[in-house]
Amino acid sequence: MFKHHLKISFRNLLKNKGYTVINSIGLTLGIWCCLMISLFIKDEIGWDNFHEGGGQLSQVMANVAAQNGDIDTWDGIGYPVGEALLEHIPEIKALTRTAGPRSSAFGTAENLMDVRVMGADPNFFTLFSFPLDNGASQSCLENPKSVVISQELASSYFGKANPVGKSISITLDENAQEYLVTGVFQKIPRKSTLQFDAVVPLDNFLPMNNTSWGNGWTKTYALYDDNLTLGQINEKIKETPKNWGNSDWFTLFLQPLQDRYLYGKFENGKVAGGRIDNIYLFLIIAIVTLVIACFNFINLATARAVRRTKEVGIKKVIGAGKTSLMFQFFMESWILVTISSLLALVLAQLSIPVFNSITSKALSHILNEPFVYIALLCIILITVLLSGIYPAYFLSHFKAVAALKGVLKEDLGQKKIRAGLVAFQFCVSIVMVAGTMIVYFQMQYIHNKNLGLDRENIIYAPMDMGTYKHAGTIVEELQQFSDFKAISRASGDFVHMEGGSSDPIWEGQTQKDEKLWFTILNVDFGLLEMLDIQLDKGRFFSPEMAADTLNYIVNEEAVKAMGMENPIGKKLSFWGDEGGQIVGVVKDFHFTSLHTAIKPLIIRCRPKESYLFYAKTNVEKTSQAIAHLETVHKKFSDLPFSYHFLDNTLEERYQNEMKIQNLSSIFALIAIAISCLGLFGLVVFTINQHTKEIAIRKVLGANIPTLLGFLSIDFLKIVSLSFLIAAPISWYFAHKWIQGFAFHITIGWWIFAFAGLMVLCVAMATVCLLTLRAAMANPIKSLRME
Amino acid sequence: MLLQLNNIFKWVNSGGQRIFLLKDINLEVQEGEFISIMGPSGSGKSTLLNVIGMLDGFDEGEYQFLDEPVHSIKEKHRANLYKEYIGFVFQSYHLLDELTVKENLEMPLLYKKYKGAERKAMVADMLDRFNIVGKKDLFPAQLSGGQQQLVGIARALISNPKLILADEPTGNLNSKQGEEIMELFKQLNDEGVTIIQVTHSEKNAAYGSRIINLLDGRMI
Repeated sequence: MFKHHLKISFRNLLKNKGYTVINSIGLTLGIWCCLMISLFIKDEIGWDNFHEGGGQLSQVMANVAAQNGDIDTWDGIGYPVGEALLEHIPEIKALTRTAGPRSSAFGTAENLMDVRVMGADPNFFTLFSFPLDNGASQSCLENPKSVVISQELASSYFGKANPVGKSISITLDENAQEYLVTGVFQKIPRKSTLQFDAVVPLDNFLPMNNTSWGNGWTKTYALYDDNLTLGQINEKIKETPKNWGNSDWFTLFLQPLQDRYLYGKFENGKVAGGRIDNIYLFLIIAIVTLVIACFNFINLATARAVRRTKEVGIKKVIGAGKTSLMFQFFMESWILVTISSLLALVLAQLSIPVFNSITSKALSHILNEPFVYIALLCIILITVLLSGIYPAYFLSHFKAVAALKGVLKEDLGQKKIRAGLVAFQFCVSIVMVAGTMIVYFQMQYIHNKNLGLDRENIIYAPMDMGTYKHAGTIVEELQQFSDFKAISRASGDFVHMEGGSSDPIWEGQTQKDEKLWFTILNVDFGLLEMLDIQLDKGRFFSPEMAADTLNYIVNEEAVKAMGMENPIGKKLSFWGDEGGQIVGVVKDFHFTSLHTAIKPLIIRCRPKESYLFYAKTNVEKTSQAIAHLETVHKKFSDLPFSYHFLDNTLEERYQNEMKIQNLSSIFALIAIAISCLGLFGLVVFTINQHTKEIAIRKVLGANIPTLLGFLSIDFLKIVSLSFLIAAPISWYFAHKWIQGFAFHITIGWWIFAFAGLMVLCVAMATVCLLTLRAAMANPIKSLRME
Repeated sequence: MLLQLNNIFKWVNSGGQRIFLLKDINLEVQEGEFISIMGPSGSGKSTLLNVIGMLDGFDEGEYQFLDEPVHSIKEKHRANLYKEYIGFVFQSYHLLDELTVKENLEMPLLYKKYKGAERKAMVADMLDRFNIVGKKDLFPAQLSGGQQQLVGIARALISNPKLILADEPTGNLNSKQGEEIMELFKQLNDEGVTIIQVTHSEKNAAYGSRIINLLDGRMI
């Protein structure tokens, strides 16, 4: 019986090639989408969950009160905070602090390597489950001059010899120092957010001011008592800075380490999503695409059912039961879905490079992965159930006699169900098209927005310890080359402006004024001019004015925040620098992404504290300029040279958005394609049903346009209905997404109108093409068929 | 006695009116009979045949088939009954287009859950008996009308039914093919199979042992 079903199903599928092809294309696309998205999601979940501490291993986070009532969330925690937590909160069982990792020079001149060195408290390897090869985890970082290195580093540096007990030279600070290797850790799992090549004791990492609660250069991890919920422990540690650190401007909370990867976005001190948003978005897309592919199947199968009534009738007469018939039709779905799944699997493997480039993942041979097959099996199961049940039930419940006589009338209910399914498909298509358009326009807007600074032909290069020591000389040397328009230095890359402080005290500040958070940018002379930042009042820094290395330039926003009427000449002081004053005000420019509003900024002229070289090159002299930069770099440093283009860096800020733009346009295309396939099938069916009616009308004198109108009005209604449903839905989601940008386009009604119109056009083109053929057919032929 | 119909009524309601398809049918059929049902179009011939074949229900009356009360037994039981004892032959043959001759013959056996070897033997036997061994791997579309009807009859006979119901079996055939089919029926009847056929042709009706005339759903 099984063999028999299989045979008859295959013959049926082969006989109706058009139907089979349409169905399997739709299903293949749907299953492929699901497969790719499950691969993506699998790669996104389960980060940092290999540590023994499990959910109790958490990172200490700080909620810092910013200006105008906002709360910013930082993961950098002051050095003494950890000690206070251990001392005063008994529920914190263990605690470790880390700093970095920073790229540092490893080894001696002959065998110099650039490695990521992290500083950590001695108990780092007991709290985190990075297993050690040699050396006791408890004591390996006790000695301030000890270092624990990765297996890779050990083998590339010491070969097969046991590295423990050997010494190695590391340039953490300005000078190289000898460290004793006390342990080797095994390869860090890929799904660890902490990635580093070597660990040295924290106290030796960067000797800084370790008594301030306000600094933020260490990350602090805590293991809390598992008798407490996260909420309870957070309640206990919240006011630690106020109670024991005399700092009431920030509060603490814990975030489980395994949540950090997915929930990295904070709003007003609370977790507000992060990567998890993408997961949800893609999950919805996967489900929706699969559902519309299944709807296609259901539509086509039930529409075609009328043609199969004879088969059902005969089988019933010669003794087939409902169950046996249902099983047969189910089997047909199953065969089709299986074929489509295999196609989808091939398509998935072929599309891996595109997938990697869009999602910035590094998948390779998915066909070797058991997960893929498990996922595929689940998808097949869901698809077969989703797409097979209704048609199987529907087809097997014909009455035998009626089926044989062909008097089976389609009832209105089934027609409505089919119309509903098609409407749903078009709804999805319109939402996707509108969404894609809005993402596209927003990205265009960002791309073309005047940031208030010139980003063209600007190269910047980070300094290492060698070049830092001779930075002044390097700037002078580079200025000799004619390929550069200007050379300067700054402390930030206009994407991540790390420096910030609420310390500044200004002339005219009243007691009432809240503490203000300023972003601090250090520059060398000439940087603001190089970036073409516009001056509003006063002047730029000038090398002729010796006092300028104490003076400040602020942005308009800072002037507003400080409430200054006449900022030029006003005194400003913080971080121990006294006697400086404001010499200029620059027009507001964007120094973070357009997600956030422009914040108060203080620019200091501190060439010594500007760690990035900036160079503006002459047009078309870029490669020569880079060659010069490299030559000079090599003169002063043994470490590899690296550089970036400012405009690229600025674009990279929107990588996530670009990802969404690319993916949403792909999915929109797929959704439209599947929906049109479904529509195509439905139109073919409708026309088949109306062949006789068309012929009679034609004989009675109807012309082609009236026939077209009569045939397409139903589809027009369906698309219009889906537009009415889709417009508010897409507006809602677009509105929500765009609120994530402080600077954004306004969503015009015309976007939805255009999306609707576009889908309508595609749909009507399908309908018209097919109806035209039917309308032009010779009526006698269709009538004779009866 | 093979079957007995007592006061069978069947009707449909149309526009508030009750239209009778079958009206007070009383019929007894003995095993081995060859009955022809005749009457003009719309007189209820096919309906009666379908009622007898249990493909269609009725609204009033009693139907005994081999002493089983068809009107009161369960659907499943009824299905088993006709699977076991009844074979159908249609005017337009109603073979399954996707299956070869051999597979079409095998189909009813599959639904009756015969074993593979048994099925093979029965199919071979039938092919032999009807002289269509050479056509066993052809599809219905590759056969002439007469050959198709031959297959149709073979399919109806394959599981040894007691009763063959034929709805205008020669309606789509030319006169020579028709004659052959009727000869076949005659021969089957001689072998002991009960046959009830619906026909328009006096000549075909003459093959039978008894003629029932219907008019507007009533036996006359």
